[in-house]
Amino acid sequence: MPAESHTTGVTLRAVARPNGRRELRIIFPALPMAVRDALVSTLGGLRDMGMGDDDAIQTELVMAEVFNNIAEHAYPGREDGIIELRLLQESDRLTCTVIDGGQPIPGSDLLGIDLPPSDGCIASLPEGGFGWYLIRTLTSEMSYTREGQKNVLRFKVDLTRRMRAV
Amino acid sequence: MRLETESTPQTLVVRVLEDRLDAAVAVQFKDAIRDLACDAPDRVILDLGEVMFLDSSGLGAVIGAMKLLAPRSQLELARLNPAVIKVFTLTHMDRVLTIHTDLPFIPPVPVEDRLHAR
Repeated sequence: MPAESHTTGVTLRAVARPNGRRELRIIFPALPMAVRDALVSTLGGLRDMGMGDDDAIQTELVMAEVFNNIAEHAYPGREDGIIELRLLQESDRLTCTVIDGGQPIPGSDLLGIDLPPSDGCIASLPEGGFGWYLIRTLTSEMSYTREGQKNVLRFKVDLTRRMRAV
Repeated sequence: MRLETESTPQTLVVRVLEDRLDAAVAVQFKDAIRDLACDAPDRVILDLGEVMFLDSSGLGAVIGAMKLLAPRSQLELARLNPAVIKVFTLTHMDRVLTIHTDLPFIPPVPVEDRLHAR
């Protein structure tokens, strides 16, 4: 590659790393349709590398929640935001780094490991607040640092099925 | 947002003709349901058979749709793909919503009722 989508400006690169590991890098605008394209491209790349269905479902959901949070909360009301994803493929897990240049993540969001409260009554069911819960449930070794003007979120996605050796 | 509807006096089937119900279309989806809500029958079945991916925004929109329809109409879900059912299971929303594997059988309107309706 690199491959670039001319409609939404998604750039994808696969980089060979030492010890038979591969890194996928993708840079895209923090806008809903570009996030969609980035997810489709990333998942296509991971499936080509032998990722199984269950792992693909989990990975796509985690990525979607992380990217949507950035589009909505790091770059509120802005159309010039950029997201960078680096995915390091190891045999049984993905090491993910997501970088953006938006507003810092409030500490309380990262602690959001509980489901939003609900008393089971339809009228009071929560319509939001599921994002961080899903991210925390489906990832491990989550860390967040503010580096200069950038947010850097690191986490791992454990895979149930080993991916093809490179 | 492409939706297709099919109705009988008691049931409205809303088929989502999108392969993703996500942050990019969540608001449009909720708006479309709001338009249908005022004269919806008792039972509304949301057929998600075409939807291959749903995120928390899509989940929020489905819950929002259920709240817009209640208490007059009850929203049920049908034909959820594995990626979609996973979101409902992880968030425990599968305990709150009625979820059908297949589109439930909707009895045709009996002939005598049709005559009465005229």
